[in-house]
Amino acid sequence: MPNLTAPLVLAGGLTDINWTLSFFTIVLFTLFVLVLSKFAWGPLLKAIDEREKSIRDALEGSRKANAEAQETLAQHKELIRQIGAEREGIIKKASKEAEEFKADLMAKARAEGDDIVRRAKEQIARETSVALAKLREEVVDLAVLGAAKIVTSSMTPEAQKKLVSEFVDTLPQVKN
Amino acid sequence: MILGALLLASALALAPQHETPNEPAVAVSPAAETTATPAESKGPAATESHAEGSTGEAHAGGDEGHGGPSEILMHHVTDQAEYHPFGLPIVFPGKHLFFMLVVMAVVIVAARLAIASYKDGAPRGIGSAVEVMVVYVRDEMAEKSIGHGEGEKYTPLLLSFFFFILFAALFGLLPFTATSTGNLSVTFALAFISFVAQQYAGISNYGVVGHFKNLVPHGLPAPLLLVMIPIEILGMFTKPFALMIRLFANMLAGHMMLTALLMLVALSYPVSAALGIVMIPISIGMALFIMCLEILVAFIQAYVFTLFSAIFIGMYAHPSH
Repeated sequence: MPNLTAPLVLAGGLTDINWTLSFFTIVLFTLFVLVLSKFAWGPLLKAIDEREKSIRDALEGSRKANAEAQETLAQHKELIRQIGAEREGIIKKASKEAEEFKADLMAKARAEGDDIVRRAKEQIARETSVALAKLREEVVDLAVLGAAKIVTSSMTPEAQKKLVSEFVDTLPQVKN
Repeated sequence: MILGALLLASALALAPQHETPNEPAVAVSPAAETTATPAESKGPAATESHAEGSTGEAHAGGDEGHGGPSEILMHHVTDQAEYHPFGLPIVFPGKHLFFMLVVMAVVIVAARLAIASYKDGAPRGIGSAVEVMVVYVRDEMAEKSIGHGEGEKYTPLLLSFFFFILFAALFGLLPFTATSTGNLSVTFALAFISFVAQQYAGISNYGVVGHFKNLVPHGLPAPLLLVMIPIEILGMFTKPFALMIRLFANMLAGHMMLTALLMLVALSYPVSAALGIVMIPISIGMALFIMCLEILVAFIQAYVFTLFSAIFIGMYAHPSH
C-alpha cells in the first residue's frame, strides 16, 4: 500500500519548486553528463569521426586514383597518337623510297636500253660502211672487168684508159 | 496501453462508489467489468500492483475520501514525497526522482548498446538510430550554433540534454511511469545547467569582465545603455527561464490531457450510465491520439531544448553574431 502522506495541494503542487529535488537533479544530471561523456558520447563521437574520416579518406583516395587513371589514359592516348603518326611517317617514307627506287630502276633500264640501241646502231653503221667499201671494191672490179671486156673487144688502150678514169671520177668519194 | 487505459477508466468510474458505499457496484462496460472485477475482489492492494502510476493513485485517492477529478489529475502529474516503485514495498524519495534515475540508466544503457553495435566502424540496429540523432545534434546544433570546432566541447552536454529529455518523455508514456521532466524542479535544474553552460561559454572565451561587457552590443549611445544593460541582464535569466517553463509545460500538458480524457468516462458515468458507455471509445480514442501526439512532442521538446541551449551558448560564445 502506498502511503500517500504527501499533501495534495491543488495548483500549489504543480508550480512549486522542490529545491531538494532540483539540487539532486543538478548533481545527478552533472554526473549523468560526465558519465555519458566518458563512456558513451566520447567513444561514440570518436567512432563516428573515425568512420567519417575513413569515408573521406576513401573518397579522396578514389578521387586521386581516378585522376591518376585519367592521366594515364591521356598519356596512353598521346602515346597511341604518336605511334600512329610515326607509323604514317614510316609508311610515307617507305613508299617514297619505293617510288624513288622504282624511278631509279626505270631510269637505269632506259639508259641501258638506250645504250644497247646506240651500240647496235653504231655497229650497224660500221658494218654498213664496211659492206659499202667492199661493195665498192667489188663494183670497181666488176666495172674494170666489164670495161676490160668491152675495151678489149672495141677500143684502143688509150681510149679505154681515158674512159675508165672518166668513169672513176664520176663515182662518189667514199670515206675510210 | 489500452488495458492500462481501461483499468484507469474503470477505477475512476468506481472511485465515486467509495463515497456512496450503499450503491451496488456497477460495471461501466463489459470490458471494464472483466478488468475491474478481479481487481475489486482482490482489494485495493491488488490494484496497486497492477497499475501504480495511474489506477493505484486514483484508488488511493478514492480511499482517502477526496478523490475528486482535479485531485486525481494533480496526483497523476505531481511528484510524491514517498514513492513505491511499481507498488513494491520500497520507499523512494520521490516519483520523479525515481523515474529520472531510471531514464538516466536507460539512456546510458542505450548509448552503450549503440556503441556495442559498431562493427567495422559502422553501426547496426539501435546504433544507427542513435547515430542519426548524435550526428544531427553535433552537426546541426552544436557545430552550427556554437561554431565549428568549439561546438565539439558542448556536444556531450547537448547530447545528454537531448537524450535525457527524449527518453524521459517517451518513458513517461509507458503505463505506471511518470515523466520527470514534467516537474518544474527538474526542468529548473536542467535550465540551470544550460544557464551555467551559457555563462561558461562567455566567460571562457572573453573572461568575466569581457563576458559582461559583451552582453551589450558595442558602440551603443550612452542613453541607450541605460535601457540595454537591464534588458540584457534580464535576458541572461529569461533565456533559461523560458527553457524551464517550455519543457515543463509541454510535458505536463500532455499528461494532464491524457488523464483528463481518460477521466471522461468516470465523469460522465454519474450523469448517465449510457453517456458513460458512449464515452468509452471517445475517451480512449482521444487519449490514443494525444498519446501519439506526445511521441511527437517528446522529439520536438528534446530538439527545442537542445537547440535553444546550443543557440544561447553560441550567443554568449560569439556575441557579435
